[in-house]
Parts: sequence; C-alpha cells; structure tokens
Amino acid sequence: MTPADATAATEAPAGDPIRVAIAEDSVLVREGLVRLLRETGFEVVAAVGDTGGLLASIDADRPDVVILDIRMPPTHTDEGIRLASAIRAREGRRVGVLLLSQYVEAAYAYKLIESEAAGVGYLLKDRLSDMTELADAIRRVARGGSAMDPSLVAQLLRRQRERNPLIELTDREREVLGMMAEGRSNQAIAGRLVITLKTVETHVASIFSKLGLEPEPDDHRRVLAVLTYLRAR
Amino acid sequence: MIARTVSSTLSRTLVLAVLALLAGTLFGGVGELEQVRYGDRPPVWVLGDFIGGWTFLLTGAVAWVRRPDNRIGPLLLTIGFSWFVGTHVRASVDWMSYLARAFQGYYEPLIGALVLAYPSGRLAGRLERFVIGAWLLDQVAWSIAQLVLLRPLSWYSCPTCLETADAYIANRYLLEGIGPVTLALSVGLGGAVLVLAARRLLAAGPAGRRRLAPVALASLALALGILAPNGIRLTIDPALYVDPGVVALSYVLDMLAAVAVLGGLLQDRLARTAVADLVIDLRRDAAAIGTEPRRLRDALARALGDPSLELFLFDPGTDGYQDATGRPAALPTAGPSRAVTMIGDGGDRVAAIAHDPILLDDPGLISAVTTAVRLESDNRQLTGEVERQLAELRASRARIVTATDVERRRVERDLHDGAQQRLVSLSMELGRVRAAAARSADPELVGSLAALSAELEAAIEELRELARGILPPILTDAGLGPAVESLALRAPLPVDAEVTVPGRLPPAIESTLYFVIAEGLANVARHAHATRVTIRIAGGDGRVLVEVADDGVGGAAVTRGSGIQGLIDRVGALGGTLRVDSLDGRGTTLRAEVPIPP
Repeated sequence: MTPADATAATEAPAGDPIRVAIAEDSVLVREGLVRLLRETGFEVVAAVGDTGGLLASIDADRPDVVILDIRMPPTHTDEGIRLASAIRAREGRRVGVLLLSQYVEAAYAYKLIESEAAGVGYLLKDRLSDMTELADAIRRVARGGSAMDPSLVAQLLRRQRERNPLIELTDREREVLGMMAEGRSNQAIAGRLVITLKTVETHVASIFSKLGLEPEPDDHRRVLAVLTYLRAR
Repeated sequence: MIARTVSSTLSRTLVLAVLALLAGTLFGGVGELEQVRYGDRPPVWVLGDFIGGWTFLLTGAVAWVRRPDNRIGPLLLTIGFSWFVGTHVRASVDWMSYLARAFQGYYEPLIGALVLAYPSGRLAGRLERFVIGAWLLDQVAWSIAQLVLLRPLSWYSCPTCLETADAYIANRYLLEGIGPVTLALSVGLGGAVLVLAARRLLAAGPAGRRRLAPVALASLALALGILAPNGIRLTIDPALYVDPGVVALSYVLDMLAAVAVLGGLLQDRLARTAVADLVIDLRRDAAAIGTEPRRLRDALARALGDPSLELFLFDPGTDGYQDATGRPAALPTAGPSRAVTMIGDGGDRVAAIAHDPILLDDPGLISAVTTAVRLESDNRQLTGEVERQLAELRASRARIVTATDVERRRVERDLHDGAQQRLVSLSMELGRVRAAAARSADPELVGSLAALSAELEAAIEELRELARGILPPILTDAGLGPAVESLALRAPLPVDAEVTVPGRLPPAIESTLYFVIAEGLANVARHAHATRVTIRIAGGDGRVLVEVADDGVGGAAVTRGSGIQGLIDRVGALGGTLRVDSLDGRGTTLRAEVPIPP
C-alpha cells in the first residue's frame, strides 16, 4: 500500500455527495435511515433488505460506502460480517463498509479489521440518533478511514488486566487513545477536545512511547495498531 | 419354620436309617453266623456274602439320610435285608428257617427295580412298572407255594431232621412242578429288565450315560450272578454248580453298583451347588448373557452337566423362540431321547431348554436351575425397564434444555426484530426532531428533547442487556470462545481465559457452559472479593470441561433456588456434572464437565 492508494478515496470532488447503499432488513430502520441520510446530504443509491440485493447494487450503483446490518436474512446471524469480508475482498478500498448492529462484539470487530482497518466502520445502532456522529463516521469510512464504536473502545480501555500499562497514561492521554481507537484523525481529536493539533500530536507521541508502539503515519494503520494493542494480553 | 421342618425330617430319617442299618447288620450277622455254624460253606464265602449284603445296607442308609426325598435309599436298605433273608435258611429255629426259605430271593426283583428306578427312585414308565410288578408277583407266588407246601420240621417232632435243617416237603411233586415255572418267569422278567436297562443306556446322551453307570453295573451283576445261572439251570443243567469265582464277581459287581448308586445320588446333591454357581455365573456375566445367549447356554450346560443342552429364548416380538445364536427356531418335540423344560409360565414365557431326559430324574435340580434363570431374567427385565425409563428421562431432560434454548433464541430474536428496531427508529426520529429544534433555538425544547433522547438511549441499552442475558447472539453466531471473550471484556475484574475447544459444540452444550461461566463471573463479581478470575475451557476425549476459578474469600455454598442450583440441573440434564469447590479463604472454583455426544 502506498500513500497514494491511501488517499485515493478522498480524491472525489468536494461538491459530489457521498454515494451510500444500505442493506437493512428492518423496514422501519431502513426507511428512517434513508430519509436521515438524504436530509443530511448523502446520495442514497440503494436501500435493500438482504445481502444479495446489496452485491447487485454495488455493481450497478457504484456506492462509496455501504451501510450493513449484521443480522439479516436468511439466517439472521452474522450475514453482515461475512458480506463485509466479501465486499472488501472484491472491491478493496473502493467501497467503504460501515456495519450497524444492536450489539457490538469485540470478536466481530477484530474479524473486520483482521487484515486492515482502512474503510471499515462498526457502530451500534444507538448512534443513528445523532446524525452528526453518523455522518462523520460515514465520511471517515468513505475516505478510507475507520469508525469504531465508542462503547467497544471504552470496553477495551476499561478492560482489566494483570499488568496494565494503560495506568501509566494520563487521563487526557487515555481520552486521546480512545479517540484514536475509534478512528479519529489528530485534527478531529483536536476539534473534539478543543486543543491545538500540536498538543494532540504531543499526546500521541507520548502514548506511543509509553505503550512501546511504533508511530504510524496513517490514521487507519494507527487504529489497527491501537486496537491490536488493546486486545493483546 | 421351613428350616426347622427340614431339619426335623432330616433327624427323623437319620434315626430311622441308623436303626435300619443296625437291625440289618444284626439280621445279616445272625444269619451268616448260622451259615458258619452249619458249616456247609467256607467262612470266607460267608464273609463275602455278608460284606455284599452289608454294602447295600450301608449305602442305603447313607443315601436315605443324604437324599431323604429319594426312594433309592430305602430300596437299597430293603435289598440289603432281603439279601440276608436266605442266610436264615440254616437257622436253628425251624420256623425261621421255614420263613426264610419261603421269602428268600426277593432281592432279585428288587435289584431289577433298582436298575429301572435309578436315579429318581421311581419307575418312570408303564412297562417298567409292569415288569417289576410281575417279577414281584412271581416271587410272591413262589413264596406262597413254599409256605403252603413246606412245613417247619418241629411241627412233626423230628429232632433229627434239624441236623440237616431240611424242610419237610408236604407235596414234593407239586413244588417241583411250580418251581421251574416261577423260575422261568423270573428269568424272563429279569431279561426284560436288562432289555429296558439297555434301552435306557442306548437312548441316553453323554450326560445320561455317565449318570447311568450304576444301572450298567447292577445290570451286569443281575445278569451274571442271577439270571445267567438260573437260565442255565432251567435249560441245560438243573444241577448247575456256580463257580465261586463267578459268584464272587457278581458280588463285586453288586457292591460296585450299590456304591455307584450312592455316589450318583450324592453327585445329584452336589449338582445343587452347581445351581449356586449358576446364579453367580448369571450375575457376573449378566451384561454378556443379555447380549450373548450362548453364554447363558454354556452356564446352563455346566450347571446341569449336559453338554448337549440347547437353549431357546422366547421372543415376544415374533411370539416364537430363538436359539442361542439368535435365529428363530422351533422347540424340539419331547421324546424318549430328548426332554424339553419350559422356563416361565404360559402368560410369561421366558425360555425353554431341550436336554437329556435323564435330568428329569432329579426334578429338584432342574427346577432350581430354571428358577435361577427365571429370577435372573426377571431381574434383567426389571433392570432393563429401569434403564429404559432412565434413558427416557435423560432424553426428556436434554430435550427440555434444548427447548428452553430454542425459546430463549426466539424471545431474543423477537426483541431484536421488534422492540429494539422500533426503539432505534424512534431514536432516529427523535434525532431529526432534535436537529430541527436546535435550528428553531428554543432552549427549553432542546433541553427536554435531549433528556428524552438520553432516556431513550438508556432504554435501548437496558433492553440490549436484557436480550443479551436471554441468549447472546454472539454465542449462537460465533460459538463459546468469542462469547466468553465478550463476557470477559465486560467483567469488572481481570479475567484470564484459556479456551482450547476446537470448533463448535452442540448448541445445548454451548449455551449451558456459557451460562455456567456467566453465572460464575457474576458470583465472583458479587461475592468473592477476588482480584482475578481464570476461565478455562478444555475439550477432548468426548468431554468438555469448563472452570471458573477465583482467588477470593471462598466459602460459597449452593443454596436452593440459587442460580447455581438451576445450572446443576441444566448440566445434569446433559449428563454432565457441576461442582462448586469453595473453602474459606481458598477462593471458589466452579467446575462443569459435560459429555459431547458422538
């Protein structure tokens, strides 16, 4: 992967709306989501209720991002996860994948970012109530970034362990680490915490040094590194 | 009470037998002494004669005591007595000599009876009873003829006659006429006895032939010592002098026969202990006998001493019998060479055995053996019934667990597809309203909507936890490992998880073990004051083991109605075990082990 590849998805002209395809078997949620996305300025190119319909739509409508429910027909188990893997294997970085679920499970999250975290998102359906957050996540995924649900990151950060190097982090550093794990860029973190970019970069450097991690230039590689670190014993 | 009855019968028989033995010894001893006193036979012959008769008395007494139910003992004693009747022909008291002359020779038909009645003590067939009855009648006729035609010498005051102890013959010519007729009859009937004995010997199987050895010996003695000489006297030489060697040989045969008869009877008694062995065999091989009727056949053949024994097991399915190899077979017809004994009664047939008819001579033995088989069969049937019910119960418990899981899955899915989606869509709408309200900038409205939104989020969160508690979808989707990882992430204390179960397990096992771990973690969090927990899942060898161990205060107890009791039931329903080891200050270990069905 070259830096050029990493930014390919963000090269779209600023004025063009992001093209979104939706696969969600609950009609209520699907229709609500379509309306919400249209109102927020996304172009919804397809909204289907099963996995087969979505694959057809990817070929026909060339969406930038697909939004997937995890539990869909026919088995109502982990269709979305499997479909996400299939799409990423087929489309690579051209299509971002954002999974929505009633539950966020670490096992699924790690399965999704197994190879790389670029262009992947995994959010609780709870996030649909805050359109700005959702729109932010869709844009990140469309750009080849990542969007991990804060509740999952919180779980991983809260996780109790025998030797816990996270204790050595300051509260602010832990906050920054969480946002990195969610997939946010330094710029976004600075905006959220109302601090300067410079300060964020200092925190990031300090965190990586305290945890003994190699600094990563790309946001999505940083996500992978941080999440992998959080999972390791 | 039964024991007392048996022992009193035994002691009465013992007294009678000893008295009979003593009386017979006295009777024979006196008679033989008369012989010695008379002096026409060398003392060594007299001694031999005494030993021959006394052998019958002794074996008869012993046989009677050991087998009071069998008439062979009294028969032997009677033979012994009648053996000695002839010795009193030389009695110095003339009426005794007179009676002895009339009643001597009864031991001949009695030995014939022994030949045909051994070993049961009864004459089995009509022909047998006819032959022996006719022989005895012939003997009685001869006795009557002598009583009528002879007189004691004293009746005629002829003291000199005593010197020769010859009886006065009232009608010599008549007696000499009757004698050969009765003698010829007795030889003919004796011959018939030999023919019947030979038939029995020839018809008998291997088991029977061994048991009929006394019959062969007694037949030989009968033929050699009595029938052959009498036959020669009748036909060739009326004045035949039997060589002492031949007489001695027939005596020896007689004695051997008597001893063999006793031995045979005692062996029958020993055979009863074979029943005890059979019961032990049946118990020890119970499992094998159930599946392998051949083993049962062998045990029966051993107990009854009949290698030719065939076993037929009743099969209620076909209402017919199967042989020991499990093939349908018809019962052989009972006949002179084969007997068939049924085990069980008409309403409750169990089995049948075909065997040597000789075994019927000891009905006690055969009924003991069949009763043992019957008891064992009933026992096995009951055990089988209990096992079947137990298996049904186990299956039904397992089905209840599965049904519970199916129900839990359904409820979780209903929540997911219904209430949860509805609330999500509601929160989306609320989000839109909040955005619109923010634009209209009514701070009060914005504040209320924010509060409403927070409430709604809390409701969604609560509903999610409720649904997860019912049955976490990750367990159904991804299995025990990922589900336990999810549990561990949520646990409020450090969790070490060692999961070494390759692949998926049956759903009922996965859910049960998941609930065990969840309950274990919840208890640790609530009560244990622990600093860490170890979860171990290990599979292999057809079992899967789950352990939740903490380093807390211990002292946990399984109380009725606790979550653990419910889990013990649930694990038990899958044929597994759940144990709580919790010593004060040593932490608590929850350990569940469940067999994985093949």
